Amino acid sequence: MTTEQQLKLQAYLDGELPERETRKVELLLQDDVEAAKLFAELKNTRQALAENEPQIKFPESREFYWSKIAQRIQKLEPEEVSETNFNWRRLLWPISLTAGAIAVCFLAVILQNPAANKSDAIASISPTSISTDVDAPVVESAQADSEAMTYEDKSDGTTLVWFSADENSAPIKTF
Amino acid sequence: MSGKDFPNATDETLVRAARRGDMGAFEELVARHRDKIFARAVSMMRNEDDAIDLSQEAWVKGWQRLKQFQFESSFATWMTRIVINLCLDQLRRQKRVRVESIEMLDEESGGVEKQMPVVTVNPTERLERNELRARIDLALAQLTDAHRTVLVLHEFERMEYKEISKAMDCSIGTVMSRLFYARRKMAALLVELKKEKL
Amino acid sequence: MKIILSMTKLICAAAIFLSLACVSARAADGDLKLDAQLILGTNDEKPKDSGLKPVAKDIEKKLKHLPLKWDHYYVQASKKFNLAADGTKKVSLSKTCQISVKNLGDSKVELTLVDQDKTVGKITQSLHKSQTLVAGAGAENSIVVLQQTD
Repeated sequence: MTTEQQLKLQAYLDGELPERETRKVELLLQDDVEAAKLFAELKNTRQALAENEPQIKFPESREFYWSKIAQRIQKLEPEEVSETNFNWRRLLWPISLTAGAIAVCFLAVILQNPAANKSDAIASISPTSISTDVDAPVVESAQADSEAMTYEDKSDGTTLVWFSADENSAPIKTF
Repeated sequence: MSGKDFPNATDETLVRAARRGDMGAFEELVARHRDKIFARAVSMMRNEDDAIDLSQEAWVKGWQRLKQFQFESSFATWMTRIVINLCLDQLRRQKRVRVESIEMLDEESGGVEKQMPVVTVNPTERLERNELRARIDLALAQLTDAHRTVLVLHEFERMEYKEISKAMDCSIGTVMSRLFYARRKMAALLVELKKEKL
Repeated sequence: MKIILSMTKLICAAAIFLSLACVSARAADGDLKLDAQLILGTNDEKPKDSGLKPVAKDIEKKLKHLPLKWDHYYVQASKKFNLAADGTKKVSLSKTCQISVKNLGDSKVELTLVDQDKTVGKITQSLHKSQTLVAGAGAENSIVVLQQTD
């Protein structure tokens, strides 16, 4: 049996073989004992795995695990958060306005003496983000509908900045 | 929706509440699907600490991207895809899923699996479920990251070849040969483990 | 007397030379020698334009560590230029892709990306000799790579 035939046998098992090739594989299974044995082995393994995924016990308490997630969510920039609660926003809008004004002042200072914006992985970057990491990039998108994603590989000393209006169209490996 | 309603609410209701900024609703979603997301991270990383970190990162990303969730799949499936991608990124960063060794190149070009004798008996027959799961876990641990990942995505996540090729950023042919090798190796390992037990 | 005069001339000349050297060294301190490249990213082993050369190994290695969806990288354009402290240079890398680089001092640069005469965005970042700045926009399969040269 050739490697190609073996892979077609597997594709047949997985239901991924084009219909026009199915008949050929069925004939091979009828005529070739080795092919039939291999097919049985692949089928047994597939079945054993599909029905018996190892069970993994979760090692932490619910509260501890959640508290770490909640902390990270609370640290997110407001614009990175999924959506702000309307009532909360209404209550706090005067404070937000003041905070916004302060942020704009900070931005002006930062652009005069560029500080940095740190990102451990791909993340949305807003021009108002402030960081104490002086080597990190400060990124400004010139178009209103466009966002910038940054990725820093500190070990390589490489910074990637991608400007895009649509995160999904960017040739970047994200989900 | 108040906190006491969360346990009875559907995932969809909770997602909509979380989109409005309701952290309590999101906490309920985490509690419901935490085990599955963590288990997927463990199966890919084979390391509990990495799995905890990556699963938490997945939940944070999930929160950030709730608006993008279109209810086309279940919330659990959507979250699982997020954690899978984070694990793949981490494996890539650690260079654990690249073709590097000559041995692996040989496997992927169809050299080694040809030499493996076909397993004619079913090594999983007459085994109790827990025993079988434990053996599968041991066998999975012996595969390379690239082979185990393909197996996990195909057999446990039921992803198609095309989806795996996109997620792993490799050709469909590579997915097929990795899957073929991984299955054959698993069969051989399960037989070995059976012999050891006897 | 002649010897004393010659000695004085020699010392003066040396002093002038040293002063000039110091001034030029200080000026050169703030200068940046930069290399900007427009690089094509592709999953094809050979690019459609067969005239393109693969990127240098060190850049390729760095690019492969980034979460970009390509396996292969080829140089479309490469421009080397000097940038004095506080100086700005506009560099055209293709018909549609231009960059503007400003030397902010202390090895810090401001890179402005321009696509089809429209400013896409601006990045301010330290660019020491070991560092590389990679920028791109939209769904393009070209990236701009900026780094210091020796």
